[in-house]
Amino acid sequence: MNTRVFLSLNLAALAILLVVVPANKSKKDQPTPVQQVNQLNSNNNINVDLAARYVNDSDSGFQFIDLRTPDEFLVCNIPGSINIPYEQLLDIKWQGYLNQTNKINILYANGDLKSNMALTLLNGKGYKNNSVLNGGLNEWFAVVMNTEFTGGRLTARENAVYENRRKAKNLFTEINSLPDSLKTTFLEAKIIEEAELDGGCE
Amino acid sequence: MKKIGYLLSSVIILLVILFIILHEIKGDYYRLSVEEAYTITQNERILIRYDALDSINPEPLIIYLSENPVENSISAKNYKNLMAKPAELLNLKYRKIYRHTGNLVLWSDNPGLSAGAWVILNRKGYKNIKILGDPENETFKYSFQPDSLAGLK
Repeated sequence: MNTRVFLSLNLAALAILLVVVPANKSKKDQPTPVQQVNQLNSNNNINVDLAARYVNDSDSGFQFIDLRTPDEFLVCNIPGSINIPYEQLLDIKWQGYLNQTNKINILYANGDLKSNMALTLLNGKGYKNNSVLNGGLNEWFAVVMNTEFTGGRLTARENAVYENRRKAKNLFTEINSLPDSLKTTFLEAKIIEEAELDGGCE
Repeated sequence: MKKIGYLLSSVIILLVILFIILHEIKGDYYRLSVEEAYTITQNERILIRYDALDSINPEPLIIYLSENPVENSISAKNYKNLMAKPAELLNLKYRKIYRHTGNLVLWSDNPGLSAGAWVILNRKGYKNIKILGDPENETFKYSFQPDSLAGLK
């Protein structure tokens, strides 16, 4: 066998190897699987009491993102939320909100599944500053909306927790009780305002 | 000259093979893009109830994810079990097990952990993965009662 034939065979073998070996589907700025696995338990999720505090304070460092359908969103949502349906999660029009450095996004849906999948997918794209509301809207209702004063003696800490929940519950009820026309106007204004602040697209 | 040519190309081939073997062992790459995994999340029924586990054929391997896995905490004792810390999910010994198991079912006390692990394993190219859980938890369980006086307030 002469050298040319030998080299040609080597090149053919290399080409076959390149076809067989799976492509690496992550880019430089995107985390590797091992990095993502290590992030799984990083516990940067937010519980409903903390979320209630952000709502009461109208904290501009946080943005609630509702991943449910527009119909579900219009019935009720956490005050200050914008609606990015899970079905549109990777649409380019939402990139400005999901991949930014100005505030922490708090993703939520009804439960935990969609929001945590969305979080892992967004982390996989290299987007930062996203977190999840633990338990989603079901947990919000179970803890915040069902909060009641039963008449017992409260410690100062328990009283602070109760007051925080009560205020958030009232705000939630007030905003979500607005007529649909007013609610839509409010939400559209909110999206435009956020887009202007973050440099995102309308 | 001919000998040098043979030697050189043999060395190159060996290096490439070595690189591929190391790459496989380390396994730190994805087979699916985010977009591909996202499409799967939209099209597949991911949650499976405990009482539906029997319908999975071949018998599934239940992967219990926990920071502090305790033997007794496994309630799916009738099935093949594997307890793993989340950070160990992609260890070589586990990857070998996944490869030789037809169906995987993820389970955790923290549902968010299972959901994240599901995405990562899917992107790694493992198929037929479910999450043990109740689909009811993903629907809205409450009804919102508007306050008719809210507008006036």
